[in-house]
Order: sequence, then structure tokens, then C-alpha cells
Amino acid sequence: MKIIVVDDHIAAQETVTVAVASDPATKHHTVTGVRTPDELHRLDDLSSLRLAFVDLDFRRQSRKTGLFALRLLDRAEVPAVIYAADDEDNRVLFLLAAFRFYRPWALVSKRASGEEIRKLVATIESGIRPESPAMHRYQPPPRGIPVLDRLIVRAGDLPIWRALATQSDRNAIAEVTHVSRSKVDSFLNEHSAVVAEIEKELLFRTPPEPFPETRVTQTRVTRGRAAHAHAHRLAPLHSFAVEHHRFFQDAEVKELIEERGDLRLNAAPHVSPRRRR
Amino acid sequence: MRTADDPQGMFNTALNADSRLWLAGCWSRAALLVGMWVTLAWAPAAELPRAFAQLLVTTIGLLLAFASITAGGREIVEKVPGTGALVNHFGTFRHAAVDAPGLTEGLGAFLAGSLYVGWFPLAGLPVGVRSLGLAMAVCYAWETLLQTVIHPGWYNLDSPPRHALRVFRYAIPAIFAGFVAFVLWPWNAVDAQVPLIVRVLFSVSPLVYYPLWAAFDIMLEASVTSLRNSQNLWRWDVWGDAHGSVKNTLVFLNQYVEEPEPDLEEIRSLTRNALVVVDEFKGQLVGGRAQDPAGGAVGELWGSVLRALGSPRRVRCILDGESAQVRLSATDYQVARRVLPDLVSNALKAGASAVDARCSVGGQPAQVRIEIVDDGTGLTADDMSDPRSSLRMLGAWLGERKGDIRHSANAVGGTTAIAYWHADPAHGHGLVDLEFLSPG
Repeated sequence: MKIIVVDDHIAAQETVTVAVASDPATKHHTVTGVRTPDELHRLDDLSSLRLAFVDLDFRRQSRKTGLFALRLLDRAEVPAVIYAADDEDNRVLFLLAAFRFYRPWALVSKRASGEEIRKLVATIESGIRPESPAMHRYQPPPRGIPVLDRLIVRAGDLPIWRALATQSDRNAIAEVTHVSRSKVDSFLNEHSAVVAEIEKELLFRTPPEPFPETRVTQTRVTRGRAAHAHAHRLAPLHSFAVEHHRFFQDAEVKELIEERGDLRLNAAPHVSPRRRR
Repeated sequence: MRTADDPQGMFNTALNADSRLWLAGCWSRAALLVGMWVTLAWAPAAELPRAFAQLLVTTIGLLLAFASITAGGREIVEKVPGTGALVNHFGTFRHAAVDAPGLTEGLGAFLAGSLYVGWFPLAGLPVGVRSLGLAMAVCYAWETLLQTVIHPGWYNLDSPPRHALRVFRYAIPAIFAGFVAFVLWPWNAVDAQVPLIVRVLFSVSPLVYYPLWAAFDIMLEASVTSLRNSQNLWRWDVWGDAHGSVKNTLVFLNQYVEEPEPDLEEIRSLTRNALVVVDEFKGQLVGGRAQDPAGGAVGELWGSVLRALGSPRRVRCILDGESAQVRLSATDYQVARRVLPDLVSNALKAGASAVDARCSVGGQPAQVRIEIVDDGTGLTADDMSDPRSSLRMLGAWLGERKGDIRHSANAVGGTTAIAYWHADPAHGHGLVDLEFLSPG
């Protein structure tokens, strides 16, 4: 079986190489590697690969992320496993997107031992999807709307998320994204709950205090309180956008969202089917 | 008026804005002064000598203002005999103090205004010219005092202005308004020629300082906010880079150590590699090292290797100049990052006092070749034969890349080590990768 490791560190490729070579049962596999998704793109015969270990973030090596590598592998029908640590909080959205738009076979930590890697390779070679409890957290639920879809409902949400990372003032956000201020307010309103959910459920952070209801049309709510409520929402969403700004800036995320199309959360959820791998 | 969560940032912004604001103010006052000189064309000839004298004071004040802000201006003024005491009172930008140019400009503004109204105005000026001249004089004074109201010294944390001075800042616009009203009072028939409404408008104009001051503070705070937002993003970017390079390197080292039978030599090699990565990261962060997505230059790697191995200056370690320019692909760079520290470390352990390195990429298929020549004690037979020696392990590791390591004794003593491996096929695609990347 021909295995490829898409990781900016040669150490990742070597870890897999040593792991499969050190046991007679997996010794017959050949392991190659590329440093970036761009290099993967340049490979002639992707379909000859039988398994790919894919890192998510390539930082200085490439602006492309693992999501682009997953697209290429999906197109070539190569089974892929995510080979990345999920101990860093700013990877969580990449993981959610990877499992929302594709069906990776497993989530493997870079801390995985040689034994774990061998076991995984052997299982996949036999055509069975390995048990990977780590990835359950990121897989879309069988029912309901995936977290990522609630985070980015429309393609137009992405520019607002990007602006939220660089600006901390609602007027500035409205200005740079060319939307009305009330649209920014409704964006904050719409996304507060899902951000709080990600923080609590996936990042295990102390949930922020519940956001007060802000029906500004209600006459009882004074303008001052409404302004306070906006500020109350803006701060946590700004922090969230800053932490995950690389995700929101990823061109591949934009493309995936555009391919998915805008969603209408109020209507019956229509979620485009995930790709095969 | 307002408080910010980063008063030092406000002060720094005010300092950065001050010299430009001051220079822009000087040029606008220069334009006004030229206008006032032109109004003298309508003055009676008998009045001209004293009018010249009055505007001369204004002109000197403005020139001093220019001199105090322009590089080398102070030295030019010093060439004039008797100006030693004067230049010692050129204000600095770190204290909210009135300096010699400021006082001269203030006096000049008063004398310029007195050409048109007050106790000794020029007789015989047409009303229109008088009103226009007065407008320019008031604007001149207005502009001069504005610099005082928004002086960065008000935001200084190291030597903050005293409480009384801060209270005085609030009073400046009102005092100035009162002073202008006093000067514009129709003391005589000539003064009364200027329409009342014009005099009233001029008198209350200093009150505009208050909203200007507020706007200035808002701009300072906005600048601080922008800076904070950029810093937040930058921190996350730096952490992302630290994670991608330093932490991942340590994760792989840790992962290897956790294996059932980790080899000490391999751990040493991985640790040296991690030290080089840390040095590279520092270089990217503070040393101006180029962010090179497609690998890197051997020269930069060499510098990091020497620093990572410690005390490189005690041994003469030289990388051939041509080799320093060699660029390696991302993969080859990482292989070289494992090979170079090991070879140099071996040379240092052999007691070398001089280490010469060369690196080249060539051949068909392309091969990366690193050569280290040292004047150390040389290798023993055991070093070469022990399968667990670092050299044997390095050789086996390079074997994975169709490479090896060779050693030979030098004729004049010491050892030459040559490590080579097949260059990564991605070599040469570096420029393509670069196009994908933004400058950041």
C-alpha cells in the first residue's frame, strides 16, 4: 500500500515510515511525503495512493491548509486521515470543517505511538473504518444542523468574521464589510449562541454568562441597555474571531462555503451531503 | 478629557503625531504671515517702518518655530551670535512647557494683530484689508496656541503635568477667547471699522479648541485600539508559528522518547535539531530572518546551527561564501537541519579549533552534499563501527533518502565528513510556492 504524509515536518513522515517499517505485518507499505498541499497538487498520480496522513496547518510553508489537501485527496478517492494535534484550540474550526465537508477515516494525533499508527494502517488496509473516538467530537451530528453551518450560515458571513478579527468596533465592522450596523448587530445576535456552544462543548471553557435577550424593538429596553448588550456580544465574538482568524481567512474555507451555498436555518435544514472521504 | 486603557500608547501616538502637526502648523502660519506682509501694501508709507518692525518679530518667531522642529535648525540658529541662551530654550516634545519659539510666536501674533486693531492700529487701511489682516492674525495666534492645547506633554506618564497645569489646560481656550475679545474691543474709531459680528466670531473662535481637543483624544484612543487589535492578531499568529515550528518539533521528540527503546544518540540529534528550530524561530520573530516558505538558505541555517550548539565563537567555524547562498527546498532544508548540527557537534567534540563547511546541490539526479572539514583529533575505529554511534545512525537515516555519510582523515590532521542525499523532487518549485503566499 502506498502511503503519503502531507506534513510540513519531515519528522511526521519519518514517524509514519519508522512505525510501518518496524513490524513485519506492515513492512510492505511504502511511505512517501510532501511538505505542502501545493506539492501534493503537483503529484502526477494521486489515485495510486492508498492512504494519506494530512496535517491541517502549514504555516510558513504554504498558505494552503489541510482542507485543500483533503479536496485533492477526495477528488482522487484516496482515503485520508487527519494527522494533527487537536490540543490547540485554534485548530477546532479546521477540524469541524474537515469533518463537515469530507469524511476522513480517522483523527490521529502527532503524539500517536508507532503501535497506534501500525494498527491504524492495518485496519484501513483491510477496508474497515478504524474506531477513532477523537474524531466523534468534530463529526456533524446525525440529526440537526452541523455546528459549522450555524457558525457560517451564508457566504456573506465570512467577511464579517474576518472583520470581527481585525476590528473591535461594530461601526468599523459595518464600514469595512459594507453592511449596515443593524446587520452587524443581528450577526452578533445570530452567532453568539453557537460561539458559546463551541467554547463550552469543544474547547471546554467556562461558558460566558448568558447573553441577555436583546429585543431592541421592545419599548422596555432602553437604548443604553441595548448598547450594553451589543458590547456584551461583541467582545466574546471578537476574541473568538481573533483566535480563529486563520480559519476565516482561508481561501479554501470560502470556496467550500460557496459550494455549499447559503442556508436558511429557520426552514427545514437542508444540508448538502458530505463527500465520500 | 477621556481615559484610555493604554495611556502609554496614547502618549506615543501623540508624540508621533506632534512633529508632523507642528510642521504642518508652521507652514500654515507661514502662509498667513505672507498674507499679512501683503496687507502692508495698503498701509501709509509713514506707518511702514513700525509695521515692518512688528511683523519682523512675528517672522522671527515663526523662523524659530521652524528651527526648533527641523533637523539641524537649532545649529543654524546657534551660528547667530548671542543666540546661545535662546536655543537652550527650544522646547522638547516630552514636556508641556512653553519654550522660546512659542513665546516669540505669541508675542509676534499679538504684534501682528495690533497692526489692524487694538491700541495702536495702522491708520488708513481699507476696511476690507483691515478685516482680512485681522482674520489672518487671529488665525495665526489660534494656530500657535492649538499646538499647546494638544501638546504630547499632556499625555506624558513619566513626568505628568501637575494638577494645576492640567486644570489650566481646560482654561486655555476660555482665557484666549477673553484675550482676543479684549484686544478686539473697539478701543478707538479705527477698531470700530471692523464689523461687530466679525469681532464676536473671532473672539469666540478659541472655544472651538474644546471639540478639537476631544477629537484629538478620540483619535489617540482609536490609534491605541487599532494597535491593540493588531497586537492581538499578531500574538495569535506568533503562537501559530511557534506551534508549527517549535512545539511540533518537541512533540516529535517527545513522541520518539516515549517509544519503547529510544536511542540516546537519536534523542541527542533530535534535541540539537529542536535547538536550531528555536533559534530559527527567534530569527523570524526578532532577527529579521526572511520567512521562507520554500525552504531556506544554507547561510541562515548555518548561523542558527552555530548559535544552537552554543559558544560558536570559541571555535573558528566558517561556511564557504558560495555555499551560504545555496537555497534548499523545504524538505532538503529540514534534512540539512538534522545533518549539519550533528556533523558540527562531532567536530567540536573532537576538539576542533577550526571547522570549515561547504554545501552544494548538483548532479543528475540532483544531490545535496554537505562537507565538514575539521582539525580535531579524528575518528577512532570504534566511532565508525559502533552501530549505535551518531554517525552510523545518521548514515542510516540518510540512506532513506538514497544518501550516506563518508569520513576520511585529512593529511594535515583532522577529519573530512561528507553527507549527501538525493535532493527532494520539489526542489526548484520554490518560486511557485512563493507566488501562493502573501508578503506576510
